[in-house]
This record gives sequence, structure tokens and C-alpha cells, in this order.
Amino acid sequence: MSTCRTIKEKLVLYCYDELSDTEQAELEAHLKVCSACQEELAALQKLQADVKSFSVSNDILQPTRRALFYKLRNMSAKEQPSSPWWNIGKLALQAGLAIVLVFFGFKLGKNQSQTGSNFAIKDLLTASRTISVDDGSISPLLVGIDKITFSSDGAVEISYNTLNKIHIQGYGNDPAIQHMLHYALLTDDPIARLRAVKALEKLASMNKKLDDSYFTILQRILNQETNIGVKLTVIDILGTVQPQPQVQDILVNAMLADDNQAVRLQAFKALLGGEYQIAALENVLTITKSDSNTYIRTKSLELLNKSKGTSL
Amino acid sequence: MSPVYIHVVSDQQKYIEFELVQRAQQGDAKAFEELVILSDHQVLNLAYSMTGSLTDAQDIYQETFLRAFKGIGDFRFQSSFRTWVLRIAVNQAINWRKKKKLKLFFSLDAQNPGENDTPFLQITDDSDASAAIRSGEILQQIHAAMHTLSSKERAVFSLRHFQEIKIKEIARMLECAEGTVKNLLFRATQKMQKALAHYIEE
Ligand SMILES: [Zn+2]
Repeated sequence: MSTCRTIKEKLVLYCYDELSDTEQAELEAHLKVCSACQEELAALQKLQADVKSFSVSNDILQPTRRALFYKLRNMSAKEQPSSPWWNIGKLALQAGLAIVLVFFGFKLGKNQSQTGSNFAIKDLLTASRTISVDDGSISPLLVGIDKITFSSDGAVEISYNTLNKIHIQGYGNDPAIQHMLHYALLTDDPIARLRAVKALEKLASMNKKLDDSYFTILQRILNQETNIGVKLTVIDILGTVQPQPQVQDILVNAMLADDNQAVRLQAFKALLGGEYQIAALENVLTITKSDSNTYIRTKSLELLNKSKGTSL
Repeated sequence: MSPVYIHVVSDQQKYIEFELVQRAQQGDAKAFEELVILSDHQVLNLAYSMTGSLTDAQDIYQETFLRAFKGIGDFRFQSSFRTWVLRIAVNQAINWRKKKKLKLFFSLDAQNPGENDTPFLQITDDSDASAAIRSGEILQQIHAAMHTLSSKERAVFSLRHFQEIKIKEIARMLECAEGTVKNLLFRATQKMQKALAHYIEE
């Protein structure tokens, strides 16, 4: 049979469950009528059964790992003792009932074909979430964030819309609070998202800086958010924190690429107000000098001329 | 109502990884160790299946994670951390082969691979003693058969067969087309069949 050669290649993929549904149906139809290919399949299955997966034992893995850690510890110049994120001792306030928050529902593998950045964030958004109380029953659904408040000393409190009010308290630089804020910023609940950016705005204006972990998320919000208020708040946050290259990149992106004039304008002003080097922005200004927004256009031209003037 | 003590447990592998990577990028060595623990067994298994030697596998393991540690700042979440370190490990193992090729060619390794390594291995599903002995023999045969593959074929076969990583992900890992991976897997399987034919016949 003329197709047997191509079938032979597909048999291997068939054994590894790598055929599409149509290919698989075709192959199975062929197998029904071709005894040569049946033989071939049996041989492949025998190979698979004989060449089993094996794994290096734990007795070997452990010392290998210890040797690596020893080397790593010698390499890292200074130890930074920081509590792991799951250690929420710092925000333990009143040990009443212990509530276990379990996030699950990742569709692992489903989105794996997608390349592009923020892979982890994308998957996070598809996660469903439930809370289970200490007795194990999955009770109040985490419907959203009720409010996020700040005290003047920088403590953050996140209250959830759950049946028995849950509050999480801690300082803004606490990994656990950051974890919950990350989650709030990425939630698909638009109200919670708005509250989260407003909270972050206060945190930013209080400290004049933010943990780097937020910037990836803020970039993502600018790319995907539909609420203009949320976007503008994000720009304000970026304009509030100390100038740094990562922030400049995000602001420049927004200024060049955002569909909304107001966002472009806000990003433009944030860049100008943020003591960024105008010289470094020259390439950007040559693009923005033809922006549809009058202010951006004239201001860009003016800055370009000024920068030319000073360099002469 | 007074706030309650909250204990956060997350089995979101991805989110854990996301946070750990970010912390590691900020110089948190403990976070990097957590990342190692999440992925290192697979790295060691891969290195072992590709080299057939435990000492080589351990060297590749260490080299892989030292490189990952130095390069973590450049990690941009375009793949999972696991994919990223496995990619480093595969390249290490391929280069290792090149380095050792001459030596291997003239040594008896190919005929008698990893003799001392066998007792350390766990065969995943054999339990009784005679089966274990048989498994030891099979392992030697498998390693010998693996030596008949080119380094790329061996990489693909190790990743797909032993590490059970999908072709799509392997293609990304090796930065080549899926069709290429399929071809390599096909050729590797044929060679393995051929090399093991006399043994499997018994
Ligand atoms: Zn046929």
C-alpha cells in the first residue's frame, strides 16, 4: 500500500499521543485494513513497554542538590533573609478560625502553545478560585474585594466580600500583601481591579517607589484594560514612582501605542514630569510630533527644538 | 467584625513560579532554591538519560543551575521556568557529548555504559528481584542503544520518551520546527528499535 510509509511515521506519533483527531481517525482506519502496519504498531508498543521511564533515585538527587546549594550560597555575595511568601505570620492579627485560601483550576497545557510574554499572568487569569474554611468545607466564594484601605503608617487592609468578613492586614512591602494585591490587580472583576489600582496609587504616593514585581502587571493592565479610569490611574502610579528605565519603557509604550488620547497625553505628561532625560526621548518625540493630540504635537516639537538648540 | 488569621496556600504552580522568579530576579537566593526544587529532579533525569552516566549527569545538573542562577535576570516569562532550565540542560548535555565524544569513542562506555550507576536507579514499576536484575540488564541495553543516536535525536527521545514533554514544547525548547522534532523522534525510535531488536527478541 502506498500510504504505508507515511503511516509508519505517524505510528510513532500515535504511540506518543501526538496526532490530531483527524490524523488519528485516518490512521485507525488504515490500521483496520493493513496487517503490516498492525505489526509495526505492535513492535513500537513493545519498544515503549521495554524502554520504560526511569528516574534517578532520591538518594542521588539529595546530595546532588545539597552540593549545588552549597555552591550557590558561596556564590551569592550576601544572604538576604526574607520570609517566604506563604509565611503570613506578619499579618497574623487575631488567631480565630484559620482560613485556607486555595487557588486552583489551572488549565495546564491548554495555553502552553501561546508564546509571548507574561505567560504566567495569562494562566493566572484563567484560574478559578475558592476559599475553604478550616473544617475543609468549601464555603464562601471569593466574590471579590469589598474595599482596600490604608492607614497613615502604610498598613494595608484588604476586605473580601465573603459571608464572614475576611480582612487581610499588613504592610505594603509584606510579600503576602503584595501577593494579594497582585492577585487583585489581575482579577477579572473590574471593580476589584479598580480598587486595587487605587490602592496601589496610594501605596506609590506614600512610598514614592513600588516593588518591581508590580511593573510587569501594570504593563499588562495598560495593554488589556478597557476601563479608562483604571488606565489613567496606572499612568499616575508610574508618574509617581521614582524614574527608572522599566517605568520609562512602559510610559513610552503607552505614549506611542495607546488608542486613547487621554492615556497618551497622561503618559506624555508623566514622562515630562518625571525628570527623564529629554535627549534619551528624542526618537520618541520625532514620532509624537505628529500625534493627533494637539498638546502632544506642539509640546513634542517644542522639546525637539529646544534639545536641538542646546546641543548646538 | 474582627479580622481573622489567614493562611494562604496556593497550588497554582504557575503563580508560585511567577513569584519565585520575580524574587530570585531581585537577588533572593532562597527563592531560587525553591525554583531548583521544583525542577531539578527532571533536570537530573534528563541529563542522566542523555549521557548514561551519573557523574556526567550530576556535572550537567550543577552547570545547568549555575547558569540559570547567573541568567535569571534575563528570564522574561516567555516559557515556564522548567522549560527554560531544561533547555539549558539539553544544550549542556549536547555540548557534553561533543566534549566527550573522542573519549567515548575509544572507551568501552558504549558497550558497557554506566556499570556503576545501575544500583542507584529506581525502575519505576518492577518489584521482585529477578525483575530488578532484568531491569538492570535492560538499562544497560537502553544506554547502549541511546549511544547509537545523534545528540539531537537523543535529546528529543529523552525529552519525549523519558520526560514526557510534548513535541510542541520540545520544539520551543530546541528552537526548531515541530516537524523537525517529529522527524528526529521518528528516526530516534527507528534506531532504538534496531539497536534493541536482538535484545527484545529474546
Ligand atoms: Zn499499512
